[in-house]
Amino acid sequence: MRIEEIQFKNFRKYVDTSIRFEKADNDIHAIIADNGVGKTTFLNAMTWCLYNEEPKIKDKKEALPTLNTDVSNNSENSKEEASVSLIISDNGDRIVYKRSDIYKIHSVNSKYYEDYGKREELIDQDFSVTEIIDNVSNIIRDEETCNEYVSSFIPESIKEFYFFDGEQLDNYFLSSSNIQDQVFTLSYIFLLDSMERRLKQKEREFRNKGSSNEKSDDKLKELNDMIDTIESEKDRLNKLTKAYNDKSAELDELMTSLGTVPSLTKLEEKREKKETLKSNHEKIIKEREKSLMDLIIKESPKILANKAFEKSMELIQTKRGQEDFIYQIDEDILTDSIEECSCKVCDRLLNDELIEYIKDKKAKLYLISPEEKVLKKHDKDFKNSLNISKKYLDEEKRLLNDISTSNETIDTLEEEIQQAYNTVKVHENERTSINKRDELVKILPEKKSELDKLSDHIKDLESQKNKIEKEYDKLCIKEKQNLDTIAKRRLCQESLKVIEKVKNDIMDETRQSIEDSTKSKFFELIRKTKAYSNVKITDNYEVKLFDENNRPALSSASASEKELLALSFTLAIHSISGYESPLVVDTLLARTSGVQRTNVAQGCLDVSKNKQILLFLLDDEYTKPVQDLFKANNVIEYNLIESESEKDLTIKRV
Amino acid sequence: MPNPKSNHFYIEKNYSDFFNNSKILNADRTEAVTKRENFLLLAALGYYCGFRTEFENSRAKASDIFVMNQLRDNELSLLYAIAIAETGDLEVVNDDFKVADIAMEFANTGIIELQKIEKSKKRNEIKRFQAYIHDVISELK
Repeated sequence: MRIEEIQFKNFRKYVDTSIRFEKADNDIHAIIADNGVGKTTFLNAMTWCLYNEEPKIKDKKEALPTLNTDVSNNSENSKEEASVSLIISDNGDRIVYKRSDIYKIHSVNSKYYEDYGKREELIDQDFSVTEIIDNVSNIIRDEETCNEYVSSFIPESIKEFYFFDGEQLDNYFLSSSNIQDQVFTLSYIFLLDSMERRLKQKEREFRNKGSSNEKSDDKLKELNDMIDTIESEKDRLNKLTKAYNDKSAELDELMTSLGTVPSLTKLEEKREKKETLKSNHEKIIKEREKSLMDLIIKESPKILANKAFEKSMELIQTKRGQEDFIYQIDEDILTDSIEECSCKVCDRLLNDELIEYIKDKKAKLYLISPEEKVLKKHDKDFKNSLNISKKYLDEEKRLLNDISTSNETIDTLEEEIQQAYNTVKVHENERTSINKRDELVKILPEKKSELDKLSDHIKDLESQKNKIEKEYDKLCIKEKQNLDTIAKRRLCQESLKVIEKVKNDIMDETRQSIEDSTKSKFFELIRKTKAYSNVKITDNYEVKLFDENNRPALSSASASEKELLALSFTLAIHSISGYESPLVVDTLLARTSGVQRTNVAQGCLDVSKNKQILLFLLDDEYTKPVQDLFKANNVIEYNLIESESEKDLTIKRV
Repeated sequence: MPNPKSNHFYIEKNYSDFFNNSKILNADRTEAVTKRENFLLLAALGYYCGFRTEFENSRAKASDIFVMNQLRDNELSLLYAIAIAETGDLEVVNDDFKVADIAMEFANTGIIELQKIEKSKKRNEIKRFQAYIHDVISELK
């Protein structure tokens, strides 16, 4: 299927114009315009015609009327129509989709204008599909049938894969759960879902019919309760699994985009600890410096006066050597001992002979001098002061070592603190993403464990249910009634198992097909085959790209490579869905430059051999090399030309 | 001349500002800075310089910094050693006033020397004084 022509009538700036897309070797059509001229209106006209929806207008109530302003200004109390017709060709047959808004134009004096502040009142909307086979037209206006025709061109549920904004291309990699839902639609899994629901309903009916007495009724109630519990737990598990998968995908994406950026919160905590440590070392330095001053003030006098101590000691030793000093013997002790006839040192009684001996000694010996009494008291200090230098140097070395170690530690800490500050500063604008990543890293294992527990719990419930079911069957069989119902119930159960398996197989096959197709298309477009080794689509429909060493490489891929990957993935979806409809892309080349831009343009040319592509380009992105490439390949160009009043425009084929 | 009968320790009035503001003598310590300890350092430094500096003014005009009986035994040992070495007479220890006089005159010399150390531009005061002590230790070896 391809778009053959689009006709506009009074649709915003497109007053009365049309565009024909003639097929050439390369079915690629470049529509070029500057910003604000009417590219987006063109795209919106197409989606509005098919789905009554304009992608870039979120709030319909806030949107301007589809009717051209000039038409509205020049009318009063009349009916005017804005319409877009999309003419599709399909193997010689043609289908015309036409949507019209019918407005009543009120005067500025009307009550409508007074109430709503505008003159255009939308009074009706018409949507029709005209099928032209062998020149015979058949107009369809029934809404349901019209929608079926739209779905046969591009189903609304997957329209994002056909009409998209090039600047948002790689966002496809970020919304995997959305892709998964759309693949469910493409794979017709919903049909199996409805079969499953129906079979479950029948199984319950047969189960309820099996009971024929009070005893079995009780067992049936128990069984039904258990089945309800299991169903509700399974629902919960599905919701939790989906939430878990979404979060996992979000984490993967954050991991990819953030690379090895550390946790800023942890980094700040570490930095604060280091600042505390630094402050402790600063305190240590201050303390050691004070101790050093203690040492200097208290001990250096002994060093400075070392010679005085030496000289004094020499004098004392000389005097002691000459026995000028008497030690231990005190004149009073000798006198008292003689007078009391007993030794005042050992209390021994003294005989005359001993008394005479002491008298003799007393007469011969010098008594202790007052200076010796003083010096004796300081003897130890004198001796210690002589050896103070080594003690001083050792203590000083210890204190200086401590200071030096702390200074080195402070230097290292300051460097680490500064690094932490710099890292935080560099990544400040990513803080929200980083915090989100850290939070997910923390909570996902907990969520996984919750899921595992819930799965185990469901298994337990299933085994309890099987037990109850057997007991219930026994009771039913005992009654020898409803054997046929039991058989039907079991058939339903077996069918359910088969459907579940088929569902899983289809999902696997679909995913595998998308992966194979994406991979082959990507390597066909990329040209740099050596840079990348593989493309994978995970169970959660995340697109993963691997480099030559089989390492994840999506985050390091260039913008053009990402666009080519997105394009490959999109085309894979086209191929798997069976809807080989045209691809309409807005500003595909804007995010790339230089050779990369030409590569993407070349990729589009390659694709356009088998598929119609409508490419909306800004003047800026339609650079000379791209123009040369397109001209060399006979790409048809169209310019959107705005009138001087800027209220209408025409489409001119170049 | 200072009053020989006083057991008070003084420093020359002209040096009192330096004594109270010297960066070395007033550097932070783990214990409170005491005038007594600072005086002992100055006396030892003066002794190391090898000469005494007499008071220019009468002791009445000098700055009273502490009294003899505030000295601890180990501090007294230093003053005794200096006095003995200076007089060559052990009996000097029996005359506290003389011991004090000798110490005060050496302290005056110590102040002059410390002023020189602090005035030097190389490194900071503390490091200069540390280097000075290291030189003394090397000399002793």
